[in-house]
Amino acid sequence: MTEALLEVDNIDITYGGRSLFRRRPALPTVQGASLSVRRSETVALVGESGSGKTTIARVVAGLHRPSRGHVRFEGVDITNLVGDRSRSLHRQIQYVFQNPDASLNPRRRVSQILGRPLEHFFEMRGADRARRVEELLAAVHLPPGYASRFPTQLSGGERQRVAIARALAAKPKLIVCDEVVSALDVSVQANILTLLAEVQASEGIAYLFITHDLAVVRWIAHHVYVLYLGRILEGGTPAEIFAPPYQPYTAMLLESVPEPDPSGPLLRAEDPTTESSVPPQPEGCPFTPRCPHRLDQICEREPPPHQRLGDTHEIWCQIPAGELARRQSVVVS
Amino acid sequence: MTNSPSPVVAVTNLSVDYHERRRWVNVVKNVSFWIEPGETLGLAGESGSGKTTTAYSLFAYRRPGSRIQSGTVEFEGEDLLALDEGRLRRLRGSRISMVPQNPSSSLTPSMRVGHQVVEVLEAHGVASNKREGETRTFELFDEVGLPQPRAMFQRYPHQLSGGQQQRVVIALALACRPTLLVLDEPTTALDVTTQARILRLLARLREEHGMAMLYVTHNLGVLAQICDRVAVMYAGELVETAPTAELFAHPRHPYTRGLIAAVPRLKEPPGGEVQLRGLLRRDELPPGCRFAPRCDFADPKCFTLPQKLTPAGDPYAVACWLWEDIASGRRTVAESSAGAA
Amino acid sequence: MTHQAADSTTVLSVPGRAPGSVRRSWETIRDLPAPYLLATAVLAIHLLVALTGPLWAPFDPVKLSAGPPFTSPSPDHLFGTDNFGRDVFSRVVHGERVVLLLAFSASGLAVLVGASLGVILAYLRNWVDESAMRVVDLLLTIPPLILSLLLLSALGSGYVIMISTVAFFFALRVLTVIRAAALNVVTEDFVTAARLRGESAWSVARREVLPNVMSTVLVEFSLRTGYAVLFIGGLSFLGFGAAPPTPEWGLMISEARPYVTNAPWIVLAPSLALASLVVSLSLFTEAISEALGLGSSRVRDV
Repeated sequence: MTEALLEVDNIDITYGGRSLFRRRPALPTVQGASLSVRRSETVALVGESGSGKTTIARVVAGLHRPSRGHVRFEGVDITNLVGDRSRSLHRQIQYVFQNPDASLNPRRRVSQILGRPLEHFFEMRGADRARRVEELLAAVHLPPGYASRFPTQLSGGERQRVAIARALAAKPKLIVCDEVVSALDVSVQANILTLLAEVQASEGIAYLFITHDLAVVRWIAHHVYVLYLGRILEGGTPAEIFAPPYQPYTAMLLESVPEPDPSGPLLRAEDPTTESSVPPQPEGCPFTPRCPHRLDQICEREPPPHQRLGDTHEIWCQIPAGELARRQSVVVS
Repeated sequence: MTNSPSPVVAVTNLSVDYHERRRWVNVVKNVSFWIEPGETLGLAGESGSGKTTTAYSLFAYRRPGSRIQSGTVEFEGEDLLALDEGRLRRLRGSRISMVPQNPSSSLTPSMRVGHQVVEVLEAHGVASNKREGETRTFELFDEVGLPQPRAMFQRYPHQLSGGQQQRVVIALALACRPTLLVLDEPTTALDVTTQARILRLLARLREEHGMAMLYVTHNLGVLAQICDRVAVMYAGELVETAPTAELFAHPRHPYTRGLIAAVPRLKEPPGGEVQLRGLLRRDELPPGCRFAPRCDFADPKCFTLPQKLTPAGDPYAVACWLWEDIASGRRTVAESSAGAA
Repeated sequence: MTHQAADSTTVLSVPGRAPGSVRRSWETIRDLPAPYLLATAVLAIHLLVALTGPLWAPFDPVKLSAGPPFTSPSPDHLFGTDNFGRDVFSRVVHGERVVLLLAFSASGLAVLVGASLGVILAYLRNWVDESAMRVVDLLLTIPPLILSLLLLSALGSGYVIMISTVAFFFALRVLTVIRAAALNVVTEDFVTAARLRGESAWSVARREVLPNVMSTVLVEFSLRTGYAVLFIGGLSFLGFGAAPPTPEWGLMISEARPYVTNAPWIVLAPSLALASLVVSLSLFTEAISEALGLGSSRVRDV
C-alpha cells in the first residue's frame, strides 16, 4: 500500500487578522508544509514552540483552514473546516489532546464519555453500547469497573487512556496525537506509548504524532518531519534523521537532548554560535539567526532549497548535504 | 550522617503535611540529606513525590495549607525552621536563592527587568545606591549571557523570550552571591534547545562562583548532565541517594531502576524486563515501604516494615532491605499478589 | 506550547473524588460552619411558610377589623393589628408567598434567558458575541431602579410587567456571569473533541457546556432571588409594584410609615421578615457556592 492515507500538500497557514474591532496583522505561522501519512504508519512532527506542528495538526483535524494549499484524505480534498465535513470523515480522523485534565468532560462518567461517539457514529444503544464500552476499556488496559467513574477519580495516565479509548470508539483510520505523553510522568509515558503501538498493530490505525521530544520519536515513528518556526526543514526515517548529514537545526536539536547518561557530551559541547540579530525575511530560512553554518545574505532572503537525499530522506538547506556531512560530527552513536 | 564537617545545608528528619479536604495528608516523610559546598544535588521524583515541598522547606517557607511536622534545616549554623520571619527575610534572596519553574510568573510584569534586579541588590544592602545597583545589574546580565545588557535593562518581562526571562531570574537569584541556589524545574517550561543553553550557563556559573545547588526535576536526562549527586524521592520519602554516575550505572532501589528504564532514549530502544507498573495511590499507602504495592520484588514483609535510608557502601544509601539480593540477582521478579495493574 | 510536567500542575494527577452532585452538595452543606446551617434553616422556614402559610394563618389578611386597630402584639394577634385592624401576623405570613412567588418568577426568568444567551454567546465567540456584549455593556450602565420606574409608569404596574422589567435587568447580569463561566468551558479540549465529532452546536452546548456551568447557574439563581426580593420590595414600597391590599412586605412597610412612632410593630414585622429572608438567602448562596466548589481552587505542586 503505497498511496497515502493523508496528504498535506504545500500548505500555508496564517493566524490572526480578523476581529470586529481590531485588525491584527496576519502572521504566517506555517509556510509551504508538505507531508504524507500512509496506512498503519506513524508519522511524527517534531518541533519546539512556535514550530507550527500543532497548527498543522489542527488543520488536518479541520479546526483551521490553510490560507493556501490542500489537504487530502484517501485522495479526497478535505481542506474545509470541520463544520463542513462529512460524518464519515469526522469518524475517520480522530484527535487525542495533550492535557488529560482538560480533554474529558469532568461531569460525565467514563461510560458516557466513551458511549457518546458510539451513539453518534454508530447509533449504538443499551446493552450493545455497554458491551462495546467494556471492550474499549479492555483495549486500553483499564478494568471494566472504571466505566462508572468520573475523570477526577482517575490519574493522568488513566485519563489519557480513556481519551485514547474515546478515539478508538470511532474506529478511525487516522488518529492525531497531539503531545499526548508530554504532560505525563515518565513512567506513565512508556506505558502509553506501548499501548499506542499495540493498537496500531492490531487495528492498523495511522498516527500523526505531534511532539517536541526526539527521544520519544526515535522508536515509535516510521517517518519524522522536523519543523522550525513554520517550515519543515528535514524529513526522513528516524535512522536517517538521527545520522549525518543533519539539517543544521536537527543537529542542534539532537545535541540539546539531555540523555540520562552522565558521560554524555551535552555540557562539553561549547555553543559556538553567535546569534545574528538580523531577522530573516518571511521567504528566508527561519533558522538563519541561530544557524552555525548560515550564509549571510542568502539564507535570510531565500527559501532553503529542497535536497533529496534518498527515497525517504530530504532536507531543506542552502548548504549541500555533502558539505554538511563533512562539517558535522555524529551526535547519536 | 554527613561526610563533610560543614555542609552548606543539612536537612534532618523533615516531615511536612498538607491540609487537604478537611484532613492532614503527609507529603514529606522523614527526609534527611545534606549538600556540600560547591556540590549540586539533584532531587528527582515524579508527581506526588514531595520534592517541591522539600525544596521550599529549605527556605523555611510554609506554603498555605501546609505544616512542618518535624525536622531541622541547618544552614550556616542555624536551624532555619526555628528562625523568625525577619531573620529569614534577610537570608532569602541573599544567602539562599531560588530559581522557580515558570519564569514569566516569577518576574513582576509591570516593572522593568533591570529595576527588579536593582531592587534586590538594594534590599539586601549589596548596592548602596541606584548607580551602583545599575552597574552591578549590567554585570550580572552580562554574566548570564543576556545580549546588550543596557538595552535589556529597560525591557519589560513580556518583551523577553522564555529563555531570556529565565536568565533574568537567574541573575536575580545570583545577585547577592548566595551560598545555596535552589532550582525548581527551571527548564521544564522551556524549549529543549533553550534548556540546553540554560544548563550550560548554570554549569559555567557554578564553576565560576562555587555555590551549592539543589536541582529539583523529574527529568533524569537533565539530572545526569548537571548533578554531582542525586537523591530520588517517592511518595514523600527518600528512597536512594548516590553519586550521579553510580546511580545511572547501578541503580539499587526498585523504583530507581524502573524510573531510569522508563526514560525514552535516543541511543537505545525502550523495553527490557524492568518496568514501572501501576501508579501512586496516596490513599492506599502501606505503613511499610510506600513503593511496595508497585514493586516487582516485593516481599510481604515490605508492606509492614518501614524502610529507612541506610548506607549501602558510602556514599550511597538505599531505603530497601532487599537491595543486595536484587542487585546480585538472588531475588528476581516476585509473584506479588498485591498491587494494581 | 510550553511543556509542563504533570507533577508541577495540580494534585489532580493523583485520583480524586467525583464532581459535585446535588446529593453530595447536601452532605457538604451539612458539614458547613454554624452560620451557614442557621441560614439554611431560616430559609427553609421561609419556604415552608410560603407553601403552607395561608392554610394556618389565623386571620384573613385583608379582613378589616379582625381586631381593634393599633393593637400591640398579644396572644391573639402575635404581631398586633394595623391601622385598619388587620392582623399583621397573618398579613406577613400571606405576604411570604407573594414575595417569594414574585422573586422566584423574576429571578427564574432572568436566569433562563440570561444563562441561555450567555452560553450561546460564549460558544459563538465571534462578531455576534462582540457586538452583543457591547450592547449589554451599554445597557448595564442604566440604573435599574430609575428605568424600572419609568417603564412601570408608562406601561402600568401589573405583575407581569413588573416581573419582566426586573427580569430584564437581572438577565443582563446573569448573562455576563454565565458567559464568563461558559468561556472557560468552551475553550477546553473536551468541547473541541465534541466539535470534532461533528456534533451540532446545540448538542455541544447542551451536553458539554451546560453541565459544567450548572453550578454557576444555581448560585446565580439563588443570588438573584435575594436581589429580586429587595428590588420588588423597593418597587412596591415606592408604589410601583404590588397594589393594596396585597400583603407584599415592601408595600406594608410603606403603608406603615405614618404610624412608626405610635405603632412600630406595623413597620417592624414586615421589615424583620424581609431582612431575615434576604440575609438567609444571601448566606445560603454563599453556602452552596462553597459546597459546589466555586470557592477559590487551590493549585499545588507536591
